[in-house]
This record gives sequence, structure tokens and C-alpha cells, in this order.
Amino acid sequence: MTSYVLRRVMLMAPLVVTMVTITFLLMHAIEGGPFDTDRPLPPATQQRLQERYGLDKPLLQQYGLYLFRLAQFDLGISFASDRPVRDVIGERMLPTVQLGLTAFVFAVICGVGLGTLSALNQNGAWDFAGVFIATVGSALPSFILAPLLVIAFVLRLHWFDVLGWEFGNYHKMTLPTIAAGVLPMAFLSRITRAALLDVLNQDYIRTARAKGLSEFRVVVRHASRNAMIPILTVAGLLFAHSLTGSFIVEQAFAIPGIGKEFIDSVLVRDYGVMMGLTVTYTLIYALMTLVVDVLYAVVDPRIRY
Amino acid sequence: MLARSFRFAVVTSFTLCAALLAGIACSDGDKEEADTPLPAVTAPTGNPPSGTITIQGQQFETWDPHFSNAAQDIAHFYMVWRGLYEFDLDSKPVPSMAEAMPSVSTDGLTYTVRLRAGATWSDGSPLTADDFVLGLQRTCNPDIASRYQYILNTVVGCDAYATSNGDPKATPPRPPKTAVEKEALRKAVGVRAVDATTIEYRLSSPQPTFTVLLAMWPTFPVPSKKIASVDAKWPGPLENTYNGPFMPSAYSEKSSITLVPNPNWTGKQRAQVARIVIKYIDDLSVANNAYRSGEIDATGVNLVELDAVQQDPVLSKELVEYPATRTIGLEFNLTDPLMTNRELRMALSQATDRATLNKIPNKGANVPTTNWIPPDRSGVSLGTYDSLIGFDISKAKASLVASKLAPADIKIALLLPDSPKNRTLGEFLQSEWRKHLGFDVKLEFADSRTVAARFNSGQFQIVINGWQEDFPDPENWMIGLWETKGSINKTKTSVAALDDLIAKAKFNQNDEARRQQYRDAEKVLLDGVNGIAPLWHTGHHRLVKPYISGMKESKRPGDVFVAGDWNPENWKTTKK
Amino acid sequence: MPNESACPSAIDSSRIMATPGPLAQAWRRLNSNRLAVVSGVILTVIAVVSILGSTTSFVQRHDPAAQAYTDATGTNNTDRSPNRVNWLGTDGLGRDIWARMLQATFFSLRIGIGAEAVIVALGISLGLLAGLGGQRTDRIIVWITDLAFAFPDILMIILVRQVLLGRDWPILGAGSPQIPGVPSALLLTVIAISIVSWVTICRLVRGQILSLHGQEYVLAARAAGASPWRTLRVHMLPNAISPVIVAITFGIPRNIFAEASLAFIGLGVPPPFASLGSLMSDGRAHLQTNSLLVIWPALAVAMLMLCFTFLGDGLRDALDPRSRRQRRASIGLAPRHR
Repeated sequence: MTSYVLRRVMLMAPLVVTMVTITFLLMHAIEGGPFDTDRPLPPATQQRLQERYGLDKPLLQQYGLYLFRLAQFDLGISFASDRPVRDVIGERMLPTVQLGLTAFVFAVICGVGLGTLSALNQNGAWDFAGVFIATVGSALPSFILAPLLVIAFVLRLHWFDVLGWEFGNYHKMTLPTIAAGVLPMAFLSRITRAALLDVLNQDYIRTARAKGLSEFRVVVRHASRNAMIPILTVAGLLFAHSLTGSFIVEQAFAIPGIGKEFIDSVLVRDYGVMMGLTVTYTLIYALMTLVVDVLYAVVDPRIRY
Repeated sequence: MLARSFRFAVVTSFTLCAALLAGIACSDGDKEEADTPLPAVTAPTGNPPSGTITIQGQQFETWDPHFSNAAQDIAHFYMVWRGLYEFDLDSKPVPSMAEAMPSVSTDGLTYTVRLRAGATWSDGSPLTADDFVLGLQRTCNPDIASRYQYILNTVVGCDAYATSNGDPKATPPRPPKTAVEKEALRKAVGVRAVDATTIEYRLSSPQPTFTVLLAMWPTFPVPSKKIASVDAKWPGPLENTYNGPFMPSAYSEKSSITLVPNPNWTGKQRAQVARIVIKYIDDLSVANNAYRSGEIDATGVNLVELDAVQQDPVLSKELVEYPATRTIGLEFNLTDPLMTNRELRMALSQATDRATLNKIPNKGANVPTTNWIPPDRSGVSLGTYDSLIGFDISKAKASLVASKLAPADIKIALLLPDSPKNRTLGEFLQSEWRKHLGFDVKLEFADSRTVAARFNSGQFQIVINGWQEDFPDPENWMIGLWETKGSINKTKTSVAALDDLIAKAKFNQNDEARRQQYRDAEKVLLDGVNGIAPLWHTGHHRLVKPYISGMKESKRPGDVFVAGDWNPENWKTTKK
Repeated sequence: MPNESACPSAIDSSRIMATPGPLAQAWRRLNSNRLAVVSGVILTVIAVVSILGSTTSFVQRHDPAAQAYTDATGTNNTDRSPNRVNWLGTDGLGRDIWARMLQATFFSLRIGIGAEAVIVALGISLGLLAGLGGQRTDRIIVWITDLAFAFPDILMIILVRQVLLGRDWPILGAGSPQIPGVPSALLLTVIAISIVSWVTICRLVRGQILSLHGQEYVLAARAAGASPWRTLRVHMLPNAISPVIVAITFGIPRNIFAEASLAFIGLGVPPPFASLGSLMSDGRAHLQTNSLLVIWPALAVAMLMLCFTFLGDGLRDALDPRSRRQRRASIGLAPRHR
């Protein structure tokens, strides 16, 4: 197992390099460069801009230079803001990570909570509420949900703000958290409900009940541990997703995060930021995949590595 | 039993969802506003600045005025820096840092400007002639790679310096100059400080609009006490020095910038607002919701909602509408075999119902037109060219017949940047042309950089494009765009009479004759739809809370993004 | 219900029919699940109506592309609320929303099902290869799945789309459809979505195969001298396939959802085509002026989501009644919207 994990970690370096290569190739294969602005620039000006950012060099040389710099943890310069990519990404990561973590915590607490309540109150009001929220959450795309939330809670009820993200200010945190957290929450509550019901019907729970244990002890001691396994597996993936930000939510609440930065960078051909974020995303996902794979083996001893 | 209740819950909740959606649909009418409009009170001048104005804006690309050409950047620059001149509400240059209008030599080649006494930077140090000399040299510096250097090409030596890095792709390749040679070229640029407060500019040919350029960002001064050379790095918003009415006090990229009055501002009008916050919001529907909730005090209108805003009892009173100096039309690639057919271009132009186009897909936001230069600039009234290229079904059909092309042979594509608005526009045009001309134009949607790249490299047939004025003169609508050798003539328009008129007008010192030549040039351009069939002059629509006053409009560039040149020193707010 | 039999037949049916017992039982269990049956019926109705709507003017009623700014009496015909002529109202260009909805639903269904077909083909073959092909093959495929999984979806979609769009590629090339009935815009979207989504099915199949490897009955079959192909065909595939079928039913609405998100970023299907996603993202800006433009497609997407989900739930219960296998199915379910 340890050797498997070590091998996978070591495989991440070629993973990043491959990723950089693919992105680099595709990036230069798409039409339009960073200086193809709506308002055309005279050829001489284009030429000077290309020189300024080293884009006049042959592609292979640019590629080599990028890898060389990457090995020194230098991600280059953003054309759009004329600043080091590392600074840009670092700055954008902050609100995204804050929002992602808040939404994740919200999704876990509400999702697992609702799922548990649903499972323990089969047919009851809680069951209904849980299923209701899960259904709404998974059937509305977030680019519709976000403006609906704004219309309802800001324009009609005046409870919260439209703009921005400010950690610790609930006026600015509530709606983005809900918009980003509803889908994972709906998903987690479904999983939790099903997993818990599954476990509660198992023989050993019946045994535990038959022994005369209190329902509380049955659920907390025996059922929850086994039901947690699928939930944990899914939560790992959701965690990775929440850290990479959501363009839709960030756009809907004007939050300067990496989800939006990523789309913007592709649309304006900001090669530096595009590559920098690809590397960042690759690492986040590769790590989470590894964690999930390890969890697979933990969950099911029959799977061997 | 479990399954049944689950399913019951799901079905019920789905029904409730539908009801919720329907509820939102039905409750459209009862829009309510949190803020009751306050009566606008004019504060007497001389009062200490008070209040905060928060507006929607768009993130600037660069803070370096000598590098930039982006409208949203320029809007910021005018708030914190000022050139020798600034524009008044009629877009005429008036002295700002200069004492008076420039004295021009009789041959029109030398401009001498004296600085106003007592002008200072925000750190209290005096503003000197050297600051302006360095500013112009910076724009010409090839290592800055200014996107806007080309407007200074009549300044002696500017082009030579700007191209001194060589060009390996030229035939024969031009090698880069050495550092010593570059330094000599920098010194040879036609600008010098005669004394501490007098600047002299030398031109290679007379340019009647040069004073206008001295009001623009490429000629803005450099705090030479802080930035010693043309190669020094340009400091960011919080580290820089300013000579405008406001200066940044806080900045967070892609989030917001906060401006406070510059304590050492020496202009005529003192700042009257204690704080201006520009929030960077790309999505206007988000900004409009923030305006409705009172989080921002001014914003551009989300145009798809324009008719709703116009009918809203509260918002309609807060709506500020004015035409901008921007013209959009169908631009044709004149190297394309089909598009070289003059009659086909005429047919397309004549088959486009500009009034309905403005009413239906554009929601009445713009001014339908057949003029290229906006009437404010050219003095040619709207509708002058309607009989020539305007909507007329019978003329369109006649033109199509005259083109000697069968509708089945006409395979043309219209290229548009992909957006919900442009989709509607494209489908409208496609349907109109099918109806009136009987052929189907193909719609191609791509992201804006792809569209720009295809436009720049001539890989298009028709594209929706246009021009936003940089400086208030008809010259800006002609030079570079429509001459055969124009540096940004991407439609490859080539009409001898047009070349001739533009060349004559460019150096004509007689202002009225010059303007007449541009009017003639416009007629030549439009007769036969060379390069462009104008469709509309873009209108600008802004929502401004009633407690704000002094946001006067002058139709200059930048208004699209931030109300930058509404001279922020005139802004007032009565909201506490 | 004829449409439900469509799901098992997606796989090589003759092989499965070799083991009729469990499948017949599953079919019976599915039929006794009323919600799944109702969902199936609704899906069939939606599919049939949208197909008919795109082919017969009797159902379509209006040309979805026909723009009418004023009606016969000369009154404004844009952004109208539902009425007798335009059942669902009209949009900003005076087009009939009912006709547009039919066109969009058909297109979205084709995207959902088409992308899922590509995903399943890619995922199953690579997954089987990984699970059966020995250590080295497994390692390479796991590495490729890691790569594909770690590659930011949206970047991949954008890049692939930008590279392919509007250029003269064979089959995909711009212009009239080179495969009859399959416009290049559809093909492109299908490729863009499936190229990032096959990983989940591949991992699912691989996990199943690895897990089945250790099962007593498989070991027993091997020990009895069965060929690897026979072991796979008779003992492993039928057992591995049920979570895949479930994943397919969840995958189709997810693809429709993914296309909607793409449309929001401005990478949806271009006119003259329309999908539910492009209708929603175009209508989003009108939420406060003509909210019907959003409500109809949102309801349609929600309806498709729910029906496919219930059908998937029903299938899962039917195919694997004892343990609901939430865990494995759930991996295939994980939402990947950004």
C-alpha cells in the first residue's frame, strides 16, 4: 500500500509535465492570440508586444523555457494584468478556497444531517424535507439558481447583499455559499440517506438491536461507522471540486476567484494564467484521486493494489 | 413503504418547485425599491469633500497610461492623472496642467506649452516640464511596447525610436539597435524642456489635432523624481504618484479600487466626494441587481432589460441615456471574391431594416444610422445617406439583380462574437436577408479573440464591427482605417479618391476645409459600401441614484466602462 | 414498456439472454416500481413528442426559426405570454417558444444520449482492458485516467471545441452535415463532453472487474479451466454491467446539464440549433423581464433529470435488489460542474 502511494505520488511529476504539454499544444492550436484585441493593433505594435512577452520565440523554445521555469516554481507573467502568475493565482485562490471550504462544510453538515434525519425518520416530515431539498438542488442549474436566490433574498426580502465575498460577513457569505453548496449538499444527502438505510437493514444491526442496545447507540456506534464509508469517498471528490471554484457562482456574485479567472484567462488567451491554473488544478485533482483510490482499498479489502 | 414515501416527497417537491418558478414569473409586476429618492441638494463649492460614491466599473488591464489603449484603463487614468489639456463638455481641449493653449509656429511644426504655476504631484513635489518630456519618451520607448504609440507618429523621431528593437521578420531583417544607439534615438524624439515650466514639441508634418493628443494618456507626465528613466518599472496604483483630482487609497484586483481626493490637486475644482469606490463587475445583470439593492450608486444598464427599466416608474427617472461616439456596422472583407461585388454589398446594406433591428434585437438601445462618422463629429445630419445605402427593399432587389449573382451562388458567412445578444442579432439579420434577398447567410459564432484574430488576418467575409472614437475629431474616424495603406485597415478598403481626400485632410491647417474633406471622404466611403455598411450609433444607458449629481457626460471614450471622464471632481452625493 | 427494454439492449443482448433468470426477475421488479414506470412513460412521451415536433408540422405548429415581430392584427408579437396561438408564449424575436422547446429538447436529448454512448464505449473498453490486461496495462490506463481526471474539464472542453470548431476537418468540418442528420455542432458538443466524462465509467468498470476477480465463483470458474474470455462473458460482465446501466441513466441528464453550463459560458451550440441549455443561458438575462424564457427550459431540464433519476433508481433496485450498491453507483454520479 505504501509503495503504491509513493509510486502514485512520484507519477505526479510526469502527470504535470504531460498536462503542461497538452495544454501548451492545444493553447497554441486555438485561433487568436493575447494581442488580437477587438480594436486591431498595427503590426509593428503587435510585434513589439510579442517581444515584450517572449512570444516571438519559436514554440519549442517557449515550451522548453516554460518547463525550465516551472521546475523552479516560476509560473511566468500574466499578459492581462502584467503581474507574476503566481501572485495572480495566490490572490484569486483566497476567496475561492474560503468559499469552497464554507460551501463544503455547509454541504457536509446539511447534506449528511438531512440524509441522516431522512433515514431515521422514514416517511416523516424530515424525510420529506430532505428529499425536497435534494430534488430542488439537483434539478436547477446553478446559473439559474443564483439569480433566483438574488431576486428572492436580496431584491424582495432585502436580507443579503448581491456583491462580493467577505469572510465573516454573513450578508456577503450566505448566498454564494448556498449557490455553491446546494448541488453537493443534495448529492450528499441522497448518498447518506441511502447508505444509512442500507446499513440499518444489515444483519449485524438487527443483532445489535436484538441485544437490546438503545437506538442511539445502534446508530452512532454501529451504523454510522459503516455508512460513513461511501459518504467519505464521495466527499473527497466533492472537496476537490469545491477547491477549484465555480465560474458560475463567482460570476453571479462578482467574486474574484480562480473559477472565473480560469475562464477569463482562456477567453483572453492569457497563456501564463491558463497554464498556471492547469498545473494547480492538476495537483489538486491528482491528490484527491489518490486519496479516493486509497479510500477504495480501505473500503473494500477485496480490491488489491 | 419507504420507497413510496420517498417518491411521494419527490413528486410533491417537484410540483412545489414548479410553483416556485411560476411564482417568480407572476410576481414580476411588484418591483419595489429599497431607497426612496432623496432630493438633490447642491452643495456650495469649497465645502470639505463628503460622502462615498460607489459605482460599477470594469477591471483595468494595466495601470500604465503610456502602455494602454483599453477604454476601461483610460477611464481610470483620467481620474488620477491629467495631461497638459483636458476635454470640456463639448470635447474641446482646454488647459489643465498647461497655462494656456499652445503657441504654434507658423509652419505648424512646433508646439510650445507653458505649465501652470504651482502645479504639483500628489506627494507635494512640483510638476515640471521634464515630467512631460519623459512621459512622451516613455510612450515611444520600444521596450514599453505601447499599444498606442502609433497616434504619435507625427512627433519627430518617435517612430524611429519605437522601432529600434529591430524586426527579424522584415525583408531584409532589421537588426536591433545597441543600447547607445537607442539612447541617442530617445534623445532625438521631438520633445524637450526649454526650461522648468516650458515644453516644446516638434512634429515632422503639421497635425491640426495635436493639441487634442496633448490631452490624452500617451502624453501624460511621469513623476520623474520617482521614475528616473524611460525603462523604469511603472509602479502599481498604491505606489504611484498622481496629478489628478483623486488618488487610489485601496485596491484589490478584479474586486474594487477606492479613490480619495488628492490633497495636492491644483485644478480649478476641488473634489467634493470623500471617497469613490469602483467595484469591478463584468456581468451587467449582476451589477443591475446590486444597483436595485442599493449596493452601488451608478451602473451601466443591462441592455436586455432596457425596456423594463424604461417602463419602471422608479428606475426610468434614474436612467441617463446619451448617444456615444461609436458606430457599429457590417464590415466587408474586400479581398473576398464575393465581397468585391459592389452591388452585393449594396444589396445587403439596403436589405437591412435598421429601424426594426434597433427596435427588436437591440431593444431600442441605439440610434439607427447610415452615417459612418457620428453626426456630432462630422456635422452631417442623420439620414443623409439613407437614400444611398439605407433600407429599401426594391432597391435591394435591384442591386441584387445588378450584382449578376444568382441567390443560390451566394455563399457568405457572417462572423460574430458569441453572446446571447449577438445570437439574436445574427438570427435577425439572417432572417431579414432571407426574406428580402432570398439567400441564406451562414452564421459563425466564435469567442471574441477568435473573431478578432480572423478579422485581423482577413479570414472573414462579413463581420459585425465598428469603431469607438479615441479623440473627438473626424480625423480619428478615417486615418489608418480606410486608406489603402492604413495600419489598421483590415477590410482592405482601397479607393483612390478616398486615399486622396484623407491625405489632403491630414495636413490641412484650415479647420473648416479639413472637416469638409472628411465629410467628402465619408461620402466616398459609403457610396458603394466600401468596407462598412453602418447600422447604428451605440447608445449608452446608465442608472444613477438621484442623490448623486455632477455626473456630466461628454461622449468621450471610456464611458462604456467607467464613468471616468464625467470629471469626478464635479461629482457630489447627498447620501450620508 | 418498450423504452425500458432499450437499456439492457444497449449491451450485447444475446449474451445476456444466455442468463435469462436474473434479467427476467429484474424486469419484473422494474415493472412493479411504479415511479420508475411513470418516469419511463414520461421520458418516452417527451422523446416521441420532441422527435415528432422536429419532423411534423402538426406537432410543431410553428417554424421554430420564423420570426414575427407583429402578429396578424399588427400588435407586438415579441415576448408574449402564453396564448392560444403560441402555447408557451414567444421570445424576443417573436418566435414560438413551443416550437423552440421541441427543437431544443430533441437536441438536448441527442446530446445527452450521444455523449453517453461515446462515454460508455470508451469507458467500458478501457475499463475492461485495465481490469483484465495485466499489471502493466492496468498501470498505464490508470495513469491515463488520472491524467484525464486531473485535466480541468472546462479547459479541455474549451480547447477541444476551439481547435475543432469552424475548421475544415473531415466529418466534423463546418458546413452541411457530413453524416446525415448529425450536424457538426452536435458532434462537437458530444465529443467535448464525452472526452472529459469517460473516466468515471472506466474507473467504475475497472473497480468492478478488480473486485470480481477476488470473488469465489470467479476463482472457481477459473480453477475449473474456463478460458479468460468465458470467465469474463459468463461470470463477470453480467455482474459488472448493472452499476454501469445505472451510471448511464444518471449520466444522460448530467450531460444535458453539462451542456447547459457550457452554454452559459458562451460555448453552447450556435444558432440555428438550440438546446435546453442555450435557451436557458440566453434567457437568463431576461429573468426579470420575460422569465418564461428560462422557466420552460428549466422545467424541461428538471423533468428530464427527475425522470432519468427515478428510472436509474428503479433500475438499480431491480438489477441489484439485495445491496443497493450506493457506493459504486455514486462514484459515477459525482457532479462535475464548475
